[in-house]
Amino acid sequence: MAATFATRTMTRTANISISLVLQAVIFVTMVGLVLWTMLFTPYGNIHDPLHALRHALYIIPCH
Amino acid sequence: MSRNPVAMLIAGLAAIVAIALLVVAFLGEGQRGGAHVAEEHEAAAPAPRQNNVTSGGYRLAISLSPDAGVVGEVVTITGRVTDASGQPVRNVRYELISHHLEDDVPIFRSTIVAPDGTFSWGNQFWDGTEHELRITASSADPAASFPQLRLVRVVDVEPLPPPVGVQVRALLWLLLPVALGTAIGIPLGLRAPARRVTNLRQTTATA
Repeated sequence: MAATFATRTMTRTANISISLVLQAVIFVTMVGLVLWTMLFTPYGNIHDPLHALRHALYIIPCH
Repeated sequence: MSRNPVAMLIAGLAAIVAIALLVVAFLGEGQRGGAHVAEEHEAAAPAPRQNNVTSGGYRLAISLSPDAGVVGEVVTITGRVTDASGQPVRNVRYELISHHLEDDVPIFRSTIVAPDGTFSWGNQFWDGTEHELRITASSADPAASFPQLRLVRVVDVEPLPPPVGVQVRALLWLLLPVALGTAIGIPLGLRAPARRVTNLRQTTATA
């Protein structure tokens, strides 16, 4: 009976992969990474096509 | 130890995307300072680079020092009008305009009268993109007039990548609403169905 309870608890714990706070942090970090790539990276292949967008947003430092 | 396969797939994809974005960010830092290649090619074709213009025997000539601009550094533009014999003309009214070509807006505009006929203009370009100097010379002395001379000179200004600190600050401002929305929205979203269930239970209990 005790073993079954322990197994169930462990299975349930394994299924909850990461806490909600960590998920939120990962989400915000991912959004930050996407925004950095789109608006801030000097990498030419992305920087140049998105030049007009960056200027249109007014708060993005460009050149 | 079973895990939700869909969640694992999404997590895997998110990890791949994150790694790809980090690689792009890393490559970008290697290119810092060498960007804006495409726009330079776009604007390279129609660029009048006049250093002098002649009309009716009168000649307006300018010189730039240095020849191209850098954001935050002064370019000194000097110019004068000479007559057919090469003698400098006195009492000249100059209209000086620095025009931002990319946004098509005048950045600086001033009119001065040069008693000795020579002007010296220290101009600091505020943006790392091409500017057009539009200089018009006309006579300020009605007794000794000459035809209006208009000169257009495109100046390259070397782009200056913004400091990383400024970029990070801008990114944080963009992330602030997302973070606030996440911090406020997740608890609200989690609470909403629970409240409905509680209400349902209460309704059932009273019925």
